[in-house]
Amino acid sequence: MKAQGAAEAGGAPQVAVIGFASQIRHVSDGSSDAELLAPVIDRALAASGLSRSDIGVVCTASSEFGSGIVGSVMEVFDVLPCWPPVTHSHLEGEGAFALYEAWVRLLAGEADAALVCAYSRPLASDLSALLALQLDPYLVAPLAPRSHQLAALQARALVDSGRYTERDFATVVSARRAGLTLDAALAQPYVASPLRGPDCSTTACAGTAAIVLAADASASRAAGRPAWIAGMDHRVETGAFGARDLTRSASIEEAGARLELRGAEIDVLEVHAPYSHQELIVADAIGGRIGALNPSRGVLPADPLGVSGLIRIGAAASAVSRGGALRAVAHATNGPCLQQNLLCLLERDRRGRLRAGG
Amino acid sequence: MSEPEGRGEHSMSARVRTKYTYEPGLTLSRFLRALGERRVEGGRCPGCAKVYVPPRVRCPACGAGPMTPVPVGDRGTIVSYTVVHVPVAGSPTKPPFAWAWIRLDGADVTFPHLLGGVPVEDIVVGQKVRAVWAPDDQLAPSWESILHFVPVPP
Repeated sequence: MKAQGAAEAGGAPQVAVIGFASQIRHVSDGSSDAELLAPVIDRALAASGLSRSDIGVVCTASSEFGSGIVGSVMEVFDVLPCWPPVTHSHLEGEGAFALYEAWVRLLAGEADAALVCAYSRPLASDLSALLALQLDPYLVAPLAPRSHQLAALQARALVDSGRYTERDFATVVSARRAGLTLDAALAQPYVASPLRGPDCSTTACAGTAAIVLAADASASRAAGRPAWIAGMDHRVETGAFGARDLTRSASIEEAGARLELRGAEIDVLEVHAPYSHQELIVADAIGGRIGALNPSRGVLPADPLGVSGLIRIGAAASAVSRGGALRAVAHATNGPCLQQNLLCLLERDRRGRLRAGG
Repeated sequence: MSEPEGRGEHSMSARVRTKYTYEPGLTLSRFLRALGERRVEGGRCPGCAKVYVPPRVRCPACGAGPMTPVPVGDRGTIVSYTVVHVPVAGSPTKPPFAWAWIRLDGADVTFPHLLGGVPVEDIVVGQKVRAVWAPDDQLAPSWESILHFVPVPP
C-alpha cells in the first residue's frame, strides 16, 4: 500500500499494466453490475499476482446517466477492494479515462498499485436517444440527431475528401466482423448513408473490465511480464461540429506527436472505433508503421459503451505481456465523431524517460 | 414539471424524458422474491461467517463471496431508534412516528424500518419486535411487503 517505488528509483516511478480481465454480454441473465464485476476483478487480480490488500488506489468508471441509477457506484463498493478504506475515485465516463487518473496517482507516488474498473449497461435505455440528450441543448439537441446520423455526416465528409470510399469502410467491416465478406458488407442497406448497419458497432447488453496497474517495485513482483506505460495523452476537441475538420483527428495527431508515434514502429494498434470509417481516421492520425491493427477485432462486433476503451488498453497490454509485441498503442474515444481521445503507449522494456502527455 | 422561475426572453425550457430498465441482480432478486412469500433470507459470508440482511454480493468487510443464503426469522431487536416529528411531503406515515435500527434474530447487521403498534414514548432499546406483513393481496417482491415492526411481549 505504501508508495516506495519512487523513493527506491530516486525519481518518478514508471507504471505498468500487470493484470487485465473483461467480460461482454449480449444477453442479460439478470446479474447486477456488482455481480458481473466481481469475477472480473478476481481474474484481473489473479493475473497480476497481487492481492486485494496490495491495492492502494481504486478508480472506477460507469455512466449513471446511462444506467439510470443515481449513485449506482454504491452498489459495486462491496466488490471493490475498498476495505480498509483506500483512495477511491469514480468517473462518469469511459474507463480508459479512469485509468489515466490511476496512472497519474501512481506517478505522484500515492500508492504502489491501483485497480481500474469500468462497467456499463448500454441497453438499459434507448441509447441513441439518450446520447442525443447530451448534445448542445440550444443548437443541436432540439433536432435530436442520433449518434449514427452524426457519424454518417463524418463518414460522408471523409468520402467527399477523396481519401476513402465506401469500399474502404467495407474492408474494415469484413476484417472485424467474422463471416462477413467485403461484398456482403457492401450489399447491406444504409442506416444513414454512407454508413450501413455493419459499419456501426453492435451495442453490447453489458460490459465489465478491470486492469491492475503497479509502480516499479510492485510491478516487478507481478505474476507475468509487465506492459510498461511509456506515455499517455488525453485530449478533447470542441463540441461545435462545424468548427472541426471531421475527416481528421487533431487531438490524436497532437497526442501521437507527443508520444513520438509518427513514423514509429507500432507492433499492435488497438483502435476504439465505434464506426468503421473512424478506424481509418484514427490510424491515419497516429501515422505509425503499424504491424497489426485491431487483432482483438476492435469494438464493431461488441461495444459496451464506456468499457470499450479500457478493453483496448487491456488488449494492447496483453499483446505486450503475452504476445510478441515490443510496443503497442491503445486508443480510446468518447463523445460524438471522436470528440475526445486518449492514446496509451505500452512497451515491453521499461524506459527511464516517460513520454507523458498533457 | 413546473415551469422554471425567471422564464422569459433569455431562457427556455426543455422537457427531458427517458425510460430505463433496472436489474436488481440475482442476489437482491432472490431476497425480494422471498419477501413476497413472507420469508426473510439473509446471506452468510464464506469468509467471516457474518450474516447480512439484506444479503450482499460480496462481504463489505472482508471481500469474500458469494454469500450462502440462510433463512432468518421475522423477529428481532430494536438496536436504536429516532422519532420523526416534522411531516415530510411524500411520506405515507404521519408524525410522530419512529424509525428503528432492527437486528433480526440470527443476523449480524441491522437495517432501518418503521415501528408501529406502540406509542413513540414507550419505545425501548432492546425491545423485541416482529414484522407485520402486508395482506396477501399486497404481498410483492418488495421491501414494502413488511409494513412495519411491532413490539412483542417478553
